[in-house]
Amino acid sequence: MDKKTINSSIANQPFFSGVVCIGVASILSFICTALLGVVDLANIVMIFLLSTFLIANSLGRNAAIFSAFINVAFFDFFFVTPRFSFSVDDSQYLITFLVMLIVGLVTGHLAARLKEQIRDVLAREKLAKALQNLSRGLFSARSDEEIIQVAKSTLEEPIGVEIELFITDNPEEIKKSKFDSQAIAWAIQSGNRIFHEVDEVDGSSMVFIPIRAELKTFGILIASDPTRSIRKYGLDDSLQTASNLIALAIAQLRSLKAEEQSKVEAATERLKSAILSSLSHDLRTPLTTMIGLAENLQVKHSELDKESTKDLETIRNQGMRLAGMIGNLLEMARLQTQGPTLKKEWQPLEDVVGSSIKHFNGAFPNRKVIVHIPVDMPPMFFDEVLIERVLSNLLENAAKYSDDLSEIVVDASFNSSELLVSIKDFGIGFSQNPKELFEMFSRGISDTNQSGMGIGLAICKTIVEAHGGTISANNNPDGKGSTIQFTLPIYQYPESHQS
Amino acid sequence: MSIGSPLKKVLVIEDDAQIRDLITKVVTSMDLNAIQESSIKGGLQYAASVIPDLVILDLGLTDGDGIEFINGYRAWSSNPILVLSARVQEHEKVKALDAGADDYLTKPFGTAELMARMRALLRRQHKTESNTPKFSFGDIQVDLSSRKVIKANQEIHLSKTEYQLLNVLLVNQGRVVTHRQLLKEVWGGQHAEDSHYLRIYMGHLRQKLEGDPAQPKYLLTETGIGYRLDI
Repeated sequence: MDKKTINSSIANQPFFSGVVCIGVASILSFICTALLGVVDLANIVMIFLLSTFLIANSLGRNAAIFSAFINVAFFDFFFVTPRFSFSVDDSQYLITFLVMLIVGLVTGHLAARLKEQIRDVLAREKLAKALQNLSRGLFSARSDEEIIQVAKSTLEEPIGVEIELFITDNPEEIKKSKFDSQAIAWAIQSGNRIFHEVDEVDGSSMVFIPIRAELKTFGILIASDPTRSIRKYGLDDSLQTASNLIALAIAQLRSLKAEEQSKVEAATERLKSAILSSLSHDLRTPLTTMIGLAENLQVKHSELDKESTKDLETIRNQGMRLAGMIGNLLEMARLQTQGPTLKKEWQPLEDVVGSSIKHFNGAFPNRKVIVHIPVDMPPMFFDEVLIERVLSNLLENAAKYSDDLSEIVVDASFNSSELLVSIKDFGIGFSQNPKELFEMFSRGISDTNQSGMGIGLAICKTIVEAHGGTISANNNPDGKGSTIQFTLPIYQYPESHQS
Repeated sequence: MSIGSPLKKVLVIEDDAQIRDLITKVVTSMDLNAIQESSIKGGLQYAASVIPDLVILDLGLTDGDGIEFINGYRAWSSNPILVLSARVQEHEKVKALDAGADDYLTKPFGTAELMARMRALLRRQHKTESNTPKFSFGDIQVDLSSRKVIKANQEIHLSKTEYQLLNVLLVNQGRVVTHRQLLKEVWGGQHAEDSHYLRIYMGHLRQKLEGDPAQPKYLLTETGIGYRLDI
């Protein structure tokens, strides 16, 4: 690689440097010849050395080397006796030449290196300043577009490269740009920067740096340097730092947006649950009056004829049924909008079975439920309110599709990994494909006189599946009635809870 | 107790006029004196002047949460409060019960159920006044003074924790006692969140006292809320 400076392009030409060196040596020789009587030869040597130093300082290392040789030659030719010849009488002068050459070469080298270092420091300082400006600009950027603008304005002009910044989640989009799509694909895939020393299209050197943070690629930064010095002065590393800064800014922006989004969602959630709660209140209040008054009439007017008493009973029962349906509907709406939020706790299964039967008996006071729960059943880990809902719904379902006099059997069993609860009735069974039962609003029997919306089963499915269990329905093999069974995973009862 | 009226007084705080009328009808039909009110503020004022034997309180009132009434009322009265709620969420009820309500009913409720709850609360109040250590329900007799539990003429051995649990439920008979209240009474304050202890011991107690533990008659579960001894 050649070692020329960035800005003094004229000094880059070796011919020019040579002419200057020869010119300087000639002028010095001319002046010193005039002063020959006055100035010692030793001081003339000094003047020549000074010229080498100055040339090194202004024209660089190669010119200095050339100047050192030329000066030795001119000194020998013009001042060492015999003058105007390269031959030397006094061999002492050979030492002078050697010292002169060595000093010239060393000072030239040192001066040139110093100059390069200063240039390097200045260039790096510029880069550092550009990065500072970038990070300050990114801090206040509020959108992807602003980030791109900030990156371009703070990087392009100060460090003399062209910047192209793509921020997108879809790499295909970037590949459509004018840049080498293979390099882009490689950079994004590998997560490392890719260099093009000389680009085929415009002849500048290019670097493709993926914008990555938190293991995600947000886009790519493409820098092209027309002077082909993209690796100099740590420019490539600075660009890497710039791309890291940009990646952080984007990541922060994204998480800020996500936070705002989730705030909006939380507000929507609150609104939804407020609506559900007030709907629940508004629907239940009139029903309470209706049911209460019907019951009150029955109690108060014992002289009422049988038919009127029965009508009042019907009003009451239908009201209760309506209340149950509203409950299910609101529960489904809640599960669908908020998802089941499980409040799981350790508890014996019979607790929740007992309370669901009690609940069920409120609506079906005369139905007999037989329960089989093994005595050695371990404590279970579930949300009691929701599982009670499942059991109540399944009991009511069984009651609706079977004869008032027939029994309903709740059977529980367990193995090492799961609990199996089945609710069996001895009614008419399902005429439909049992699998379709659990889809919302699909009922076991389409034209039965029993009321109910199948929504209860859909709720059961949602709750059971949220617990990590399964639910299924079958007609009994003997053709009498049907069985719905669900499973719940069994967890190891923690040691610390045993007391 | 005031001497002026021989009838027990029930303060009905409910903002829906129809339901208020209905409850009033039920209360009057039980030979009780009903006082109607529709706001928390008015309710607290009335309560202070008439000193009701029982308060029936709707949780969702127009001028605030019924819990505010419970807090205000419990500052000076221990007479029972029956809470009515149209809200399905259990934690609302737990909040009311923990604040000091004695029982709750979810709307819509039947008149018969309302009457049963009122009777239980009034009876309980009467019993607390008589302060007897002897209780009997079904074929079970409990004597808190001699720490004896007898079922079908056989003495039942209860562990210390089981006995304490039964004791707390007996003292609070007819009331819903929340998980938190039971844990605090039986295990002490630091276990107020460990409701699995409670459930397991309640299971033991049912095994020993109930004929069919899976369908208990007396030791009833209020799902998501607590337990109630119904005798």
